[in-house]
Amino acid sequence: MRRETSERVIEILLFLSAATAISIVALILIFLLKEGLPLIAKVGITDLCLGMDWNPLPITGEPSYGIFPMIVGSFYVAAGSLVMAVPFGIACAIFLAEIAPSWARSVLKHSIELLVGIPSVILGFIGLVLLVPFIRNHFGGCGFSILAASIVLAVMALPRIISISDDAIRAVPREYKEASLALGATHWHTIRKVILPGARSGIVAAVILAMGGSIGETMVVLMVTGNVPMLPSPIYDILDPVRPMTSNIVVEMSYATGDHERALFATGIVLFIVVAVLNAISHRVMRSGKGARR
Amino acid sequence: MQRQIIVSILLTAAIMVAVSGSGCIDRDSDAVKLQIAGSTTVLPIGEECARIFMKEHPGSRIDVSGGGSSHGIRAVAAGTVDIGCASRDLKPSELKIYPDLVLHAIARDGIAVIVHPENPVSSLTLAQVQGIYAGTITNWKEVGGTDSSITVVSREKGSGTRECFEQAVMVPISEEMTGRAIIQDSNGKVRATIAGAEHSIGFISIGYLNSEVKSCYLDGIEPTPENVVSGRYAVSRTLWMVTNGEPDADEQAFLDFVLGAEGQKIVETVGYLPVELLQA
Repeated sequence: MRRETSERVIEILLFLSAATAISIVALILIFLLKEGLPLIAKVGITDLCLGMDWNPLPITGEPSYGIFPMIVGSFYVAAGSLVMAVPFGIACAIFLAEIAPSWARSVLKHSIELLVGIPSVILGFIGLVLLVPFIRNHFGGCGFSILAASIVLAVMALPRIISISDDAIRAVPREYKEASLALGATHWHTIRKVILPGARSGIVAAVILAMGGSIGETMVVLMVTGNVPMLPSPIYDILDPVRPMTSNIVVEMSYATGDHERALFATGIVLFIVVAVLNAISHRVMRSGKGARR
Repeated sequence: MQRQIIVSILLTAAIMVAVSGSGCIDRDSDAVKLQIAGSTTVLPIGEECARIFMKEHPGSRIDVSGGGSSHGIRAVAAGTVDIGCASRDLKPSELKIYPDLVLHAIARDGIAVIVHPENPVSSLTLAQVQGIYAGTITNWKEVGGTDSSITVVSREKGSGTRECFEQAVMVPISEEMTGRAIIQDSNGKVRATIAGAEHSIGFISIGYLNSEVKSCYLDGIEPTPENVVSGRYAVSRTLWMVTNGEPDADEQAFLDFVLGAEGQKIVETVGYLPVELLQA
């Protein structure tokens, strides 16, 4: 009798803490929608997401709230960071999981964990004072650029890609590797033909998660992208400045009122959807991979 | 059992009342507790005044934070802070939503056009600045400099500094500022950007001028405090502290300090202009 009551109390407490976590997310979403939806209704979702012109406080004429250049900017810097971080990260994960002797593994693992601990504002500042002038002097342009943001974001994405890929590679059943080696395949051949395909879903999930992280990153892009709310011209010029969605919100939020503020919340809704979709995809990929293996 | 519970509840309540009551009595009579937030332009004045004020009134606690003019106005109207700071005049729309706000002019400020110290250009006409910021002048050689393209640096939409600059520079020609301008979100970051990029141009409050950047003469007039006060230098504004309704005792004490001899001295030390000169 007494034991049952205590069980019950613990169950309720656990349920409450789980419910709190979910309701916090729900409340954030509700708040975001409450603040942003009126503007989306007023401007229209297509004009918001595909509009080319962002000018919430025009000197003359009507304000315009097009965030297409910022959506492009977000994807640009995230894609750029992946191009740099993925090959490097996966190579590093393979080395960690398959090749490194245990002492090297522990040294590397710890230094990668240290990389996670560096606050993004510090990386952003390093980008601002070292990378931006370097790009300006050696590649041209004004330095504030997609390239600068991609490089710093790649540094931030690396630990995430490495640690999830490392886990995925180590989760490949030992028998696969042994079978492959027993058939006479070399270690490299085994890695390429057996282990990597076996760990594919985990690696893909790592890449997608890293992309979500890069799109959601704020401080770094705020400091090194230049925050210009226009498409790069020409469109492939990675030395041009852009303004990702996150820095649009943070740059203008402190001064915004009325529709301008609502437009920033609407930007937040779009950002939320993009990141949520990416997370959902990565979970699905990870789950399907696990299902297939069993 | 039940009685015990009731008694203990009453006892707790009694203790709480006693404690809170004694807290009121113990309070130092001139200890002031204030929350201040708003414009980053006013921030150095607020911080320094708060520091000295707290030293002179032990037990006082004044928190000063930034967030921007609009944030300051909103926060003071919402009651989350006692005093809001604004580096621009209140908009008609804001006066309509928050009719109770009371404005106190605390300082004057000018906005200087700045370039890299090694840039040969050190004087520009208003028309040239207009051309550069409208995007029609894109090379320094068009305004007497070297043959290199101009990197235009600006503040974000809604910033008081940008608003003041636009009022004086862009509004007369009713042109939008070029979309190609690099946006930095504080006076300090604009200064750091200009200091690090040889071919760039920007504008900051004269309170932030230092040797890292060079301020330009505008139409032949140097952005000095004297020229701002005399009205010869055109790009200028008033800095405000805003209260919700007439200031209460604590707020009044701090405002008196800021507007008094000591506070106005601080205004000058951090690089702005005292408000008295405004009336002189």
